[in-house]
Amino acid sequence: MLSDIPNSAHIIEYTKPALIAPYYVQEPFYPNIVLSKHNRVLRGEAVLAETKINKIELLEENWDGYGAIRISSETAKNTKNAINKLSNFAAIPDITPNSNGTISLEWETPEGYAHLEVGRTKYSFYIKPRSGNPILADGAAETVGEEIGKSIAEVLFPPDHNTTAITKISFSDNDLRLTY
Amino acid sequence: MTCALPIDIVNDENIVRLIRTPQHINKNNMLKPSAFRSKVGTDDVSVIRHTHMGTDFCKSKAKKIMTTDYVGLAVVSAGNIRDAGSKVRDSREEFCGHASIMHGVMILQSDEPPTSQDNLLITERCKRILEYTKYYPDPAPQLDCWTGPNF
Repeated sequence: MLSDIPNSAHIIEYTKPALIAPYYVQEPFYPNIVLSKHNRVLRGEAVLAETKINKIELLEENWDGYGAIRISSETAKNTKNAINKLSNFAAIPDITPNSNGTISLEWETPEGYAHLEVGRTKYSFYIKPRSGNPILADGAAETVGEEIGKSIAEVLFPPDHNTTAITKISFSDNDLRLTY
Repeated sequence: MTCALPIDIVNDENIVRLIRTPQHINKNNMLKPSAFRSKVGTDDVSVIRHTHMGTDFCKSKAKKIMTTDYVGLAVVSAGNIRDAGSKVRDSREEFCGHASIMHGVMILQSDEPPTSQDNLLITERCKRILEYTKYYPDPAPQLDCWTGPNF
């Protein structure tokens, strides 16, 4: 029977003879607390983000009154792809058109600030943590992906370690009671 | 028409940046560093010499330039802009009362982002300016005159 117990299980042994059989409690599996938290909101927000980019794509020449240029369809497509890839790692960012025809994606938490700017063929990215050195990256627009997503998740959305489930076990005569 | 304003901008002059949504403010209605990002192809951020021109003038320009996207005015002194490391100079060739902030970091190119290094530098510079900047959301953007607090 013991061979069925997963490695991560806690074996709880009881001193009363009636309940001597080993019993295990499977620890809850949280591959990434932040990821699971944000995935819940992302599905709804991802649609809103795409709608926002579609609206940005419709902005006309001089949309800011200071000579801003139109956002190209390539830039809009690159930005949608980037959000789609990053949504596995981080919350939907603030989405802002820039007067030079690029789109900025920004995340800010108490841990720091991240900025990804996407253009027609290139991207530029940095994270400025609350403490420590900034992380910089540049590349082709279609290559935004996992590395950047992981950086954002690690620096800006570190896992919350205070969410471990508490299992309380108590005896009352021969009754075993487990409360979660 | 001649412009009677002095060319020199003294440190205690109030400078106003016209604020639009969504480019300049975040979800919490706070100014973003991009509020002081320069125009494409130049190193100029358009601002108005508020001390000489007044709030109603700033608002009328905002309504003309930004139409429905206008949401408020950001105010910072010329001295604080200089303290942050940027320059500010009169640029009356645009219109009398117009001035330009120059960060001296880079010139934005069309359709492509600046390098991450330049982007970080410019954002940090803009953030320093924001530390000195007071944002006044317009309580009635649809009206022609300013009805918010005096500054």
